[in-house]
Amino acid sequence: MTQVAITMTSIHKSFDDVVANDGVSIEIKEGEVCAIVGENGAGKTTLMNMLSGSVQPDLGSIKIYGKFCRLKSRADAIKAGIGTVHQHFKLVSSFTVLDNVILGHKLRERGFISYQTATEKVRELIDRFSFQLLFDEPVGSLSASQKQQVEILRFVYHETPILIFDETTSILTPIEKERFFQGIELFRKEGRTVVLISHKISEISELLGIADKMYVMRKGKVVAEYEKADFDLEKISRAVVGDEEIAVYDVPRSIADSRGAPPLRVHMSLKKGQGRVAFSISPGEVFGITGVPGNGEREIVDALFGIKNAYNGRITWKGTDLKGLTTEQIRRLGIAYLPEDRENRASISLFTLAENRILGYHKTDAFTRKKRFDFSKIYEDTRRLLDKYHIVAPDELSKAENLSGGDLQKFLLARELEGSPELLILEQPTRGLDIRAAEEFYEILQRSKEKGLAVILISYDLDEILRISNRIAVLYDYSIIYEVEAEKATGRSIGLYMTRGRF
Amino acid sequence: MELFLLNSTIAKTMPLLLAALGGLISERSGVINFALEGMMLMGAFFAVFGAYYTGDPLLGILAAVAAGGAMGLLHAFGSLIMGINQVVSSIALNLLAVGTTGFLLNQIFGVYGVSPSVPSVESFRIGSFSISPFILFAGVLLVLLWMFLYRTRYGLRLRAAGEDSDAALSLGVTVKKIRFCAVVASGCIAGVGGAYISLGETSLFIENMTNGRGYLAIAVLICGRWRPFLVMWFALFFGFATAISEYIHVSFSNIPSQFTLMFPFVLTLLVFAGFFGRTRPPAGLGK
Repeated sequence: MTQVAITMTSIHKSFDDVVANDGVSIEIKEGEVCAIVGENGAGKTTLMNMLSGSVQPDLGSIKIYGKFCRLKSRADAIKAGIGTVHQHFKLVSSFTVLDNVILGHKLRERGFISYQTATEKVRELIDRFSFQLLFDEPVGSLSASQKQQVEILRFVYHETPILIFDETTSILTPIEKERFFQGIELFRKEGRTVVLISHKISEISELLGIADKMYVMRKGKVVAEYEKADFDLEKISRAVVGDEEIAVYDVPRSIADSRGAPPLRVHMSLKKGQGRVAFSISPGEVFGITGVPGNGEREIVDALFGIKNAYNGRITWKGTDLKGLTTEQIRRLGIAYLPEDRENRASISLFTLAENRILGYHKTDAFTRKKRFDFSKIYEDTRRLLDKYHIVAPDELSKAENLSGGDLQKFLLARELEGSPELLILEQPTRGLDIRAAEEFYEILQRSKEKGLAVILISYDLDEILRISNRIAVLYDYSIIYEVEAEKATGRSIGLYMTRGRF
Repeated sequence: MELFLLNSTIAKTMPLLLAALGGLISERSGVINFALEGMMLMGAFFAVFGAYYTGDPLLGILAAVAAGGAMGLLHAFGSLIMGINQVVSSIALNLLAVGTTGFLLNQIFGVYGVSPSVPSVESFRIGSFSISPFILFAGVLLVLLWMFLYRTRYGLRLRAAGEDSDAALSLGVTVKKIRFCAVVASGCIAGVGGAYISLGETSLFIENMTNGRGYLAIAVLICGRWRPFLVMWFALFFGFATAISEYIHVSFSNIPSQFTLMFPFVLTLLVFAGFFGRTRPPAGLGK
């Protein structure tokens, strides 16, 4: 009989008033591949954090290989044989691949490192998993998927029997994902226990192919449990989102208004003497830009929005050259920007909603009377916004940090749209939002698109890019290397260009 | 003249090298250590104190190690456990050292400014070279430190703690413990540097006799890019600069001494202003 690797019984955990886990029990057998799915905020990550020792349960017990464990620190979890690959890498970027791997887990080992043996072992493992890595490369220069490979290598090197992958596939391109699943298959053959966490509905079908068991979590509880025999995609998907119907918003591809010259024309190079970014956008159009993070998307926004002027070439907006203009002047021309980091860049979390409402409009006369802020006007307008966009918030004086991610994002989008921009730059707009909030976001955006708003959508989420955009551009090494009509694009072809055929 | 310069260079290099190596182990673990000056000064005083009461300069050095270690302990306690800003804690310790040594000098020896003479550490001579046991110690320390940092598991963990404490923590490295030990060790080594100043160069303690060399050691550490052997070369370079300035001071009495003695500090200023190329400190330093 196979042994049980992980048993978690009636786990309760709350943070302040928020109940993250409410009586969760799971059991995972040795050598099993188990998937845990659920929306953002369903409590999956909290549950896994208890296994990796970074969070302790309020109530309930954890058994690892049948022994009760109190995992009080990450070190405890590692000793118990649990390795977690997080969404954010835990690598020392100035170290080489080899040093990062050795640094790993066997903390009781002392004394000198035999670099010769270690190198041989790491090389052999790189071969076995057919990773594209050199053992003496500094980790800082690796791509996200390579960094993930280093993390995996680390656990394999130290013979960690239980591996947890927390949303690791979300940063991978389709082909990298296939390779990742092949790796999981290899772990199964070696008899390791694997736990996969995912919040993406679109990923469930892939997980069904590989998992032996699946748990569905919603609102802090396990709502369903399936064995391989009764896997059913439709049933599981429904369990994930719950009984309430979610209107999956049918985003009609907006019709680009191609009469007349396109208002935005970009023709620039971002790196000295190389890299070419050229595109133009018509009213009502969504231009999707994707790529592996760090290939120039940040620099495009910086150039467009006047944050940095480090580019050669021209950006013209309705005939005006944007070079040398300040961000404030660019905003006045009708260009708006919603940064990816909602809590730190798009809003000030300790400010009230009313205060956040006037950010960006603070130099205009929209909210002033006799050159001073007219607060009754600001409060009233903020209330109007909350009402109009169905934003859940106690009142206009609650702090931005107290809003849920989805409500904050809707609020920020509303703020930008109220300035009636003609071009809106969006960066990863639905990252971390649950499906419902994301759909509402798309719906609000759609209304403005119909009125002729042009959108630049920067996103690494291929589903989103394919669904929302009219045209899609792929960035690689600061150049647009591929541009395609969204109808003709597939996730696979885009993924190929993202890595330029290098896997 | 050459021989004078050579001996003098080595003599000026020693305290810089020892203090910088002390600083190195602390900063590679991620803790800023500007308290080298104070650690050395305490080391210098307690070396004389120990030698005075036991009559044995080697026991004096041990007292210096203990005193430097105690300063390290204070720095570690303040910055790692109480969470004081590491620079502030360092500066407080430097001030503490000046005050404490001055006070104790008066209380213990009943004098102001200069302590009575004590037996100093004997150098042995090979030909016309005088070799101080401190040189041997520094050489051995240098090699051991290098091996520790780059060839042992603890060294790897220490460097990881200094580069990215979050990543290190998630692998179960006990970052705080490692840093604590590193800062205390840093104090012990800097203490030996202080002992060299009082028992190696001379055989008595003078108030504030470290005279800014703890800060010079930080410049050495930065130039040496926090790497042991590079630090050694820069310690030699700064030692040489100091020796030259003293040589000029002695040989050409028509140049005001303020100018000649300023030389190594001007060099330090240039270092801080980035004249020797940009250097990259351990990524997690001070975090």
